[in-house]
Amino acid sequence: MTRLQIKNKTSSYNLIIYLLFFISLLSISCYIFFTGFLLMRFELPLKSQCVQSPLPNSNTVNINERGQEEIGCWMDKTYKKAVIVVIDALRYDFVSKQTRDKKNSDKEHDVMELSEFFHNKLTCLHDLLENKSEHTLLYKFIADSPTVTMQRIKGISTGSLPTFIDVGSNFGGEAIVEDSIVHQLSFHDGQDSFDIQNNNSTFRNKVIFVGDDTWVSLFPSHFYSQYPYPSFNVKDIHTVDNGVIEHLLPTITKHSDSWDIAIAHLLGVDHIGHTYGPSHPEMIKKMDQMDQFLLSILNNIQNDTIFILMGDHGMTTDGNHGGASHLETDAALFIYSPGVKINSKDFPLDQLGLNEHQRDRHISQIDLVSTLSLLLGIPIPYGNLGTIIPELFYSSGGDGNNNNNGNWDKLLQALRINTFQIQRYIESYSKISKEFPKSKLDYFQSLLDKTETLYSNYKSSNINPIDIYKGYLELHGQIIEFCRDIWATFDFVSMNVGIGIMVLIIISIILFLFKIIRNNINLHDIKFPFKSIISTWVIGSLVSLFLIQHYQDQYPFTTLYFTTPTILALIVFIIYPYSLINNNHSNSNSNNSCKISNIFNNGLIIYIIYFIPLLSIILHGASFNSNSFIETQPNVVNFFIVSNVLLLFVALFYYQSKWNNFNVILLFIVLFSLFCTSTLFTQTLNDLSFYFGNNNSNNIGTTTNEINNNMEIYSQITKPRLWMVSMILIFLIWNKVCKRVVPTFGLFKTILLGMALLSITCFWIIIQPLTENNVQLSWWCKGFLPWIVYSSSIYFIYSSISTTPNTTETISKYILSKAIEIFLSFYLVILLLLGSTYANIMLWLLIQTISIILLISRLYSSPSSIFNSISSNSDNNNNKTDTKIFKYYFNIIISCLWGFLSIHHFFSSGHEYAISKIQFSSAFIGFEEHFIWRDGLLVLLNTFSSGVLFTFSLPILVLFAKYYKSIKTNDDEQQDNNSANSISTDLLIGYLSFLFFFIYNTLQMFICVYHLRRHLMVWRVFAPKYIFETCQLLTISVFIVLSSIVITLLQQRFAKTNKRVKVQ
Amino acid sequence: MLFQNLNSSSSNVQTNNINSSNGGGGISITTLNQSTGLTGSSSGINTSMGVSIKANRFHLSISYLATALLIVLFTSSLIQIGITFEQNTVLAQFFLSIFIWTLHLLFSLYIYPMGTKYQKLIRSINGLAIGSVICYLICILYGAPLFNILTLSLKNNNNNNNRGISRTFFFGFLLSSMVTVPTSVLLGCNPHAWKDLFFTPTHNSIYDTCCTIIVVFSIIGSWIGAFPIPLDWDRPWQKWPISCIYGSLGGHILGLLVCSIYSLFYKEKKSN
Repeated sequence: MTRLQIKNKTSSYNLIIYLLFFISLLSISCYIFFTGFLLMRFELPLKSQCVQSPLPNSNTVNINERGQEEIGCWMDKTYKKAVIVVIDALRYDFVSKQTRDKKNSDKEHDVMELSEFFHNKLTCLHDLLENKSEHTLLYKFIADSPTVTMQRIKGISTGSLPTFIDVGSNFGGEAIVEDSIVHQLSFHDGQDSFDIQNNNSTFRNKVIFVGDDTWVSLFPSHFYSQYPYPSFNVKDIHTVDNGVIEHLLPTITKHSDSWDIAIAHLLGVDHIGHTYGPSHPEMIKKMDQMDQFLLSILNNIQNDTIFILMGDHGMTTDGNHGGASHLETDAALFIYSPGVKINSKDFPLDQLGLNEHQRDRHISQIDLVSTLSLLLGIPIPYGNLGTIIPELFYSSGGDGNNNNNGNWDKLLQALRINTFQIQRYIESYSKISKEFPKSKLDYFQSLLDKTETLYSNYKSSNINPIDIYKGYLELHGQIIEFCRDIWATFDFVSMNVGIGIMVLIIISIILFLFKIIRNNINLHDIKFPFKSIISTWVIGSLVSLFLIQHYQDQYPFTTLYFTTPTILALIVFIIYPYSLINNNHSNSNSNNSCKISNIFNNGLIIYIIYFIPLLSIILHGASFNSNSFIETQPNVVNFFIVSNVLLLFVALFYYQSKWNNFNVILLFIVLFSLFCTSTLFTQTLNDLSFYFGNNNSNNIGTTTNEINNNMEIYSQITKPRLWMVSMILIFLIWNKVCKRVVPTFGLFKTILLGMALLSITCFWIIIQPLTENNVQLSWWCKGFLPWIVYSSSIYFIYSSISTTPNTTETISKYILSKAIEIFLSFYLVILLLLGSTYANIMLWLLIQTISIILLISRLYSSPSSIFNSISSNSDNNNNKTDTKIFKYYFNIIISCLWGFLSIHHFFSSGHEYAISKIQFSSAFIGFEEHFIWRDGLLVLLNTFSSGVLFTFSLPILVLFAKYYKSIKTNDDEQQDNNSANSISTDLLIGYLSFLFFFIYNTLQMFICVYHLRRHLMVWRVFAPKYIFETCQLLTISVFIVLSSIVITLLQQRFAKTNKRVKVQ
Repeated sequence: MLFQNLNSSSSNVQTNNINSSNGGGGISITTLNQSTGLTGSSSGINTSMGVSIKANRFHLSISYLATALLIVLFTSSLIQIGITFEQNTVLAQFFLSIFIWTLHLLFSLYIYPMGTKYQKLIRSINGLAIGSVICYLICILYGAPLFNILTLSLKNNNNNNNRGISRTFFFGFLLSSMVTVPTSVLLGCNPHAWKDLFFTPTHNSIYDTCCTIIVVFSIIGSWIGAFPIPLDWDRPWQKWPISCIYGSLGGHILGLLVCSIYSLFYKEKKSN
């Protein structure tokens, strides 16, 4: 007896256990993929100071900062001025001289053949390289991936390795928070762009920028003067370039006081690559234009100026970029300094081991920052990781004599400053992040100490400077390699493992659902296979311990640890024979084959009805492979929802023998509300207002501005009325629903509901306009009304869980009423969080949900009647298969409709798959101070509001649809006992099929991101979408678990009271 | 003789259908009259049933095939003349839908057994009119541009290519000529009869089944035709509703071909 009770007890938690099992594995797989794909780096807001050299015991207590700046901050200035020209997608072989016999001699770079379109076109550079070889340098400028302009500009200007998520203080904006060379050039110590905006101070150097407007968004108000041009349209080849050509030459030939640094960014070459591909006649024209332009600039470079020409990345043979192939990463860097020698012939390249690539010197893209900073006499940006380019310092260091010591002195001094600066950065970074293990840091320190002792003996004893140089360089190499590992490389193993686990989860969910539905298993009869899964988990983790020992250096710890146990557990779960436990139903042998000959005759429509919901789920997921589908996703979702609602209607007709006007009304309500919440509707409204506004202006002669103002005033007046109307409607609907279904919903709760809605309205009408107009209010005044809403919704949840059930009501009715109350409480909070703009949308959502639930419940109750009446007559077998198919279909349509609806309302409530579109202000509704967990919860509730709402309405749907009849008629208790067991089964099926929709979408997103990681749009479209999709999945699964816990609690409470009644 | 025979057998079936749906109105009465006039002869010719069905099948199949081929021919000739979907969308849609409407009307006049010519004409016109409005509304629900005409006409008056409202409406017109005309010619504009045709699992006659096939294929064709619209390939045929026109045309023609094959292999169930 006791054992039986125990068994009962554990089995009553089955709903939670199964869901938790799937969801925990799901989060593991999401996490593993996340670690592989998304590389995170923290942005340090620290800036280097001119007066504070990174060298140890440096006694630069020179208070006079401005004086210091005149000479040069950490090192003396070599150049006073610089002209930096960036040509987008300037590949190395566009610049360097290509000869015809190259492909024979050079097997290593066998890709290139001499192209008449882009090779040997920049002849002015070739002339310079030949005639003034001591004053010019040409490097292969190796970019890190992602080779996208924005990330490259960040890399070039900060000297660090930018990743997708640079976690900085400002989440939404694009401006660089880290220290950068532009910042150091423009601002004095402790200054920033706000000071300049307020005209408090002057610039350190007058930086002038011409070209791609990405720079301006990255460095807002950093420039003394700027001429930005839009970079968005790839097909526009000439605008930016013509602008640069127009402005740059006059700028640098002007009086020398008017500028110090000139930066130009030309986009034409890149745009031609994207639009036509590199091998196109347009490219010849563009290259000739570039040659002319460069010639005009080079002729006007003065002796105190350094000229730098670079490409930010290369391009593939079809003109795209973004990945990490040689053609994409090998950009060109050309340096010309007419006044100072920079390419000394006696620089011992071979001895330093820098000449390994025979002809072409390789320079990493981040190396430019430190070099340029020291040459121009400004501090190296704080986060720089690049090494200085030695030739520039070595060659310019000599004082004209043949004495090499001066050269070495300058080079080593620069290198030391650089080294200590990197060391300082690593130390401060390791304070806020645990990515650097202690052992590594110690190792770096020991390397540094070794070289430092060499350096301290350099002057006194006769140590070869080359050894010291090599010592520093080795340290740099080690650090940069380590950083690249954690910041700039995808981890393919983790990504593959993540995808693999996800696929296994989907398979196991499908098989599990299939088993349950086919064999009519009751959830209480199947115990979760704890023993076998735990034992396999233990075995798996033993294996993974072994793996960790061997591969710890190559792969991340989490991947190694979790992979084997999860995969093993899933495989065991799939294999585990549930059907053996309780397989009374031997009708699996029944005639499953639907006679193909009869398809057209009696069921063409029905197969289409069954097939299309599944098809639309699959197609919707597959559409993520194209960025244009992701960009138009609201329309895509709308398309699929409308098709599925229409199909639902058709199915209803198919199953119901009589024409029913109520169904048609419901259908119209659903379709109309879908139309009103779709983006198309708002677009149409905009169009209309535009039209009428314009029309009026034509007729009356007033300007459009006035009309717009009038419109705004008009909308400001009408809006509160609209809220009021929608609030009253919401109240009426809720009241009606609650009164009809929830018996315990008394007068007190009605008043509470009214009060909550009233306080929301008051908050929107009175408080929010005041705060927007900067009226200072005390905190309780702002927080009072929202707090009423929060507390009343908490009270709703509490009371719904705590009240004991009435003995007369059935369990399904009891749980249904409580589920409605819980849905109501979340609805109220989300209504408040979404704000006044979306009040009408929330009203539509409510109406829509109710009418779809009614439609689906009608659909569910109809076939049983039709089949019962027919099955007595004939064709028993056929109907059985039909009802079975219907069961699958029913769950598919639930998951399909609910999934699509939650995405639809994600968009309709003003959200988008972009981090900048998150409504962060919702975190401060009712609260003043920042508190991360609560803020996070509120923002999550706001962002995924539709998902949360539909998760909580799912039990209502399932219960109402399946127990529609018994609720209506208050059936006898014997059925009740049965239904008590089957409720959790049905709920599990519903939850899992709802979850399936999102898991499938997330899996598709994983795969897309994985195989499109070199796509042009990865960082703009796919990666944000991926992040949102994952977050959505996790949020929904958490809320699914929450609602399942609540329902299990309710079930147990009901069972307890029932028992007590029976005992009495 | 053969034709008369065909008339009688199918009209019997048809009247049953309409009677069961209790609401044919005037139409059902007329067909009933016709069928009662022919019942005597039909019972007499029962012996030659096998031959008649074979010929009938062949006849039907050929006429479906001919319809499909005519549509293909007409479309290609339209394009040859210069009225392409890409440039003169509205005009091409209008001509095509009128052509398909006449084809279905002719088809019904020569093949469908019941109803007078006048009735069929009225029915088809009704079907076209009501169906095009319904199809237009459904297109808008699916996300077709509704009021684009207003903004575009204001922005640049010379641009005649982007009349959103008329394009959408004439797409509805075309779709209804493919979907509602065949059905309305067969059944009239009685929603109950339509419901019986599409939503009952068993069909009584070959005409019903073929009509269903044609309708479903064209609807699915236009559904699939909407998929490439959001892609950024910048092709002229990607503009709304051109790809949908191609899709629905393809579906319609495919449906007609399937019908022509199906009617060859169709076996009359209730012949015994």
